[in-house]
Amino acid sequence: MTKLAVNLDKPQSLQAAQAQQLPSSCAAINKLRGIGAKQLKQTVFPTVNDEDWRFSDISRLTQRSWNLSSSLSQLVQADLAAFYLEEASICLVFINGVYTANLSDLSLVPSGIEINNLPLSRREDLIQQHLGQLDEGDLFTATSNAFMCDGALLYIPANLELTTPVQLLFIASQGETISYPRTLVIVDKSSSLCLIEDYVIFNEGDSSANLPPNSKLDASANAAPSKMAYCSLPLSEIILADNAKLEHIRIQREGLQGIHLATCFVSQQRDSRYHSVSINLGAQISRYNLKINQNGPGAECSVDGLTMINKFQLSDTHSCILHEAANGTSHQLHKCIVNGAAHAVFNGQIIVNPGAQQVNSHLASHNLLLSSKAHVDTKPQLEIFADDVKCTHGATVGQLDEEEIFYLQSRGLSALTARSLLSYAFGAEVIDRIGVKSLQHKLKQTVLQQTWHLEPSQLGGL
Amino acid sequence: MIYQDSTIVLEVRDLCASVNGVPVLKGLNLTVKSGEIHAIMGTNGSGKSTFVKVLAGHAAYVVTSGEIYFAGQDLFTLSPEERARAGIFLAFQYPIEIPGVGNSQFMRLAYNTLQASRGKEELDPLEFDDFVREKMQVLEMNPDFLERSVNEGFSGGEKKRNEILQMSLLEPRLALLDETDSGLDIDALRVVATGVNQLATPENATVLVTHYQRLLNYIVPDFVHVMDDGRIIKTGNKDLALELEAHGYDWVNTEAAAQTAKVTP
Amino acid sequence: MSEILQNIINQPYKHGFVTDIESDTAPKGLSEDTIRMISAKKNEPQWLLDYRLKAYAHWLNLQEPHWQNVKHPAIDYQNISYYSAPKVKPKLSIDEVDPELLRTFAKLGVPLHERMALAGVAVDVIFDSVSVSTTYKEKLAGVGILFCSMSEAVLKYPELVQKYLGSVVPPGDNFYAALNSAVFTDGSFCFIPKGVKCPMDLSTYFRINTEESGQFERTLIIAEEGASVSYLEGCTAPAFSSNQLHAAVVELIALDDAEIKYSTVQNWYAGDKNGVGGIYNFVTKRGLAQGKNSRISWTQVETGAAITWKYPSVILLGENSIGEFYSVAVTNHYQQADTGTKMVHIGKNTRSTIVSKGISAGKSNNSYRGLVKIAASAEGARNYSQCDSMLIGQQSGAHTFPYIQVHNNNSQVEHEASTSKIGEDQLFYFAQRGIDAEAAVSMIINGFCKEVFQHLPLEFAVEARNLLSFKLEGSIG
Repeated sequence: MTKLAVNLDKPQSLQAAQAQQLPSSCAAINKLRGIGAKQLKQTVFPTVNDEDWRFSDISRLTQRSWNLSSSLSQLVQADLAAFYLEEASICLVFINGVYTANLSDLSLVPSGIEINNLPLSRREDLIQQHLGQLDEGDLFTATSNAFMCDGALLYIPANLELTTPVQLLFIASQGETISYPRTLVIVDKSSSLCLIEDYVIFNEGDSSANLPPNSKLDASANAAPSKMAYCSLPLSEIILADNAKLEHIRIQREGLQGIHLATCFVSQQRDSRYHSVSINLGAQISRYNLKINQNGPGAECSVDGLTMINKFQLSDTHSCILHEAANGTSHQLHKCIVNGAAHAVFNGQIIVNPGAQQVNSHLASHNLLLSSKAHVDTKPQLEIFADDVKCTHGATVGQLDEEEIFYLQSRGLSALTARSLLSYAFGAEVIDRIGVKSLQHKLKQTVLQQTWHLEPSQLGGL
Repeated sequence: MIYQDSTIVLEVRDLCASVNGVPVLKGLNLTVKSGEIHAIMGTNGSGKSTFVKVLAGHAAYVVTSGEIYFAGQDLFTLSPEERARAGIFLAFQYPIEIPGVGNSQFMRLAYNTLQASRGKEELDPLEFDDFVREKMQVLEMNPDFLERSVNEGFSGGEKKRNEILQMSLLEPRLALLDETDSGLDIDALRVVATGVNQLATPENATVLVTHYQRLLNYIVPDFVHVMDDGRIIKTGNKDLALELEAHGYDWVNTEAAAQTAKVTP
Repeated sequence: MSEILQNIINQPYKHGFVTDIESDTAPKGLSEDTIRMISAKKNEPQWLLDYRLKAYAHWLNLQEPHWQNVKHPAIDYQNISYYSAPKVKPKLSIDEVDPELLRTFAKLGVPLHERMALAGVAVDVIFDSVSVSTTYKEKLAGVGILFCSMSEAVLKYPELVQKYLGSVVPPGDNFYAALNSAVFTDGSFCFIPKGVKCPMDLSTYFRINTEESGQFERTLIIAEEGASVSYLEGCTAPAFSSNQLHAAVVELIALDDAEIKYSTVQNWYAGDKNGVGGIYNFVTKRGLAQGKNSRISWTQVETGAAITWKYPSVILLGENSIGEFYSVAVTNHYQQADTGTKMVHIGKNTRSTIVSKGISAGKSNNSYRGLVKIAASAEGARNYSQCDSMLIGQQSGAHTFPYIQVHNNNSQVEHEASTSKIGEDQLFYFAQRGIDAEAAVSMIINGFCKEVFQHLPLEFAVEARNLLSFKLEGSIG
């Protein structure tokens, strides 16, 4: 295989690499790549002069070229023991964007339900109908289209409730590569699904790979010391039919030198429910664009997020909830815990279009600064064009409440412990909303390690 | 359940109604007897929700012709609140949120208003509290809902349970459930259905409007009606719902069209 | 349904009668001579006359503000009478007050004689520009509290007045404050000495009686270290077809550990249903939380006036001081309200709470305008603001202008806003549960305003609730 490399800010390099790709076995993917190639010609690399990127300087991505393909992974199931979740009996594993069947487990997929690597699926009809239908054609969705290879396809037919969660494990294992993880989820009428997207690092070339899996997970969970620089541009498309329900859990724990720029589009039909919890811990630079369109009346969404960063990390969450139909509800809680000289950005946009009457929307952004160099930019943005709606928003930026610390001190806790406990509790509120117990537990441990200045053994029953 | 010789609760004859001057109901006929459960299905915009709102007396819907009798009484002479007091209950598709008004306070006012109009004893706050808590257990509702503002911040499923709770308090003669099943998870659907089934007696009647066949697995209707373009175009038993699920509404429409074709001379 | 709502909102103004009392009214117009005349009539000391003249000179250089979200024809400041007093000399004993005046207050629902006595409220009554009676004076004096009309205070406690007058709202603060400083005629003065908790609520009733007279009262409340007081203010005016100007200034000063709670139920004549007549209510109210742990709390129910322009504010200077603003503003027909607050955090760990409820009916416009300013010195400051609007009917407007300025990085500012509506669907929901429109409206409105009413003294809360249902009866549809 020829080695292809791209510079994201150089359209010629992207177009040339796009043209040299070997065709996919899947016609829909080839078609999408064609669309992506056209989009590439109309997009440019964003800078801080673009309103959408005002607070996030990602010029670091342009300082080098990225390899489009990686060598075959040597990982075996045992390597991933720490990543698999006991509740998720169905799991798809992608390494540097490439589907890896021997690490995945599709044996328990019930008949009628389609869960597979997208190019391997026989449901060409579904793929043709839905793939690439929701994107808005910025540079990153354009490249995702232009370079699409593998991806997860999940289809739940009508009137079915899949009771076990499905885990999608996206592993970065090689430096200098760029990958395009792709996910297409279709939940049909009155069905429900719980989906976990998990973005992790496992450095195959790093000596730290020899550490026992547990410590490696914990390390990579937030402050992975790996020097491996790579770039991941995931794109997810989610279609919820009438009365469908999706629990969407998204964990981003990339390596500290990784770059993660993700996009997720959600289309909601009438009476559908979309509940998501998104946790951002890793990456040098991360960005999550979430766009939810409520197209049908009575749709409901809750969007919760926790960003916990340190050192020189930059994490940016941009969400847009568009109410096109009446009687919809949206609830959003976004929290950031920022330490070191890290920088968190949150832009929460809610648009209520004319005709979307009796919409109820609540947006809250709460931010905790743990150091004087930590920095947050938060912007709730409500745009309301209907006259019978209820929209509330609240934003706080602050440090820990001195009175709460004092109260805990007066009960015998040291000031440090009191601070740790309160920071932990701040983050735990979001993590508590994750319905998958083992994952919730692991994430709480991570938050503890980040916020706690004591040995975990002293934590007792937390 | 269909009972022999039961009385007629609701009689609708050639009902036509419009919204903002646009005709929505175009000659609807329906007879509901006590003890019966009727399900009305149909595509979006077929007029299902309009029909139940007309029955409850929503001012935005103008009746242009036809007749409705409720327990023998001409319904058009009654205001919305008089209809409610006479025993018509509408479980709303989108229950209204009322910030600052306590759920318990609201339900007690509604309950006592109906009790007074029925010449029955009103309950003081303490008595009412006991009464409502008992009803909440059936619906597996957290008593915290009593303290919160009416429907404010409730999830879709919680709002629907709150509607059924009100229905169980007000013990209507005719219950109209407007898409009570939409937006519900299977577990919530089961709970709501149990509540509805428990309230069904030989004396009252229920009309369910639904978009999804799924509900009828839990509440078994005596009659299933298919609505299209403001009319009931087909009536059958519970099996009709399954056929609809399998073949879609176009199938009924084609069949109805075929029937129409046959009777046309 | 809309008809019922119309009826519920549109009941006539019940305070719109004129009391037939002979009054001594100055000719229209404003000049240095007018000011000298007012000052002379009141036997004022020279320093106060100088203060007035300086304010007047300043006023001449100021422009009427136009940034607020209200519209009105230009005000002719030369077509207003700046002094009007009942001719029958006001007497200090309530039993000697002109019986006609007492009947006025009975009509107003303010039977100062009996009801207030039973309620244990000490009342200062300002009729047009002059304070006519102050009750309970002796009892208050027994604990060292000075409560009297401003004119009396100027003569009896000149050092106190001179020390504090204009210390919170300087004469040149804004156009209307400057005007007030030049021509104010009377008002209430209240001084609570160190350590004294005022044993009863203090109260002032304001009434404008004369057509084309302006009312420019001046209120000054000082709570010394550890003192506390709850002060109530009510306002009414007869229905005239011309607009009258009410430009008051209220200054509050709280020293260390002191607490001042100031409650207003404002029911000035709002004009008729076509927007003719009504009071222009352009008021500057400001509190200085000067001392450590001091607390100033504004609660207002604004239902009247053709135009309201009013931002009761708190300057949080003392460490740990607290400022609060709880407001219900109701507008109907063509009323306009642009009201809100300013919370200026200067001291460390200062806290403020803002709860604003705006209800707009008819063709009215209701704006919340608020500023939360956290100075760099205000480490650990906190603010919570909540602004809720309720629209009744299709033609009313609600606007929210929250300004937030934070100059340090360890403060918390939280803002919530919501807009809801009472319309056909909301009332249909109640009707479907057997509850008629009138009960529904009253339940919805009271629920909406609950968080504010609970901060009013009990008697005022009852009055406010009645006023609101009275004001809004018939307006939904």
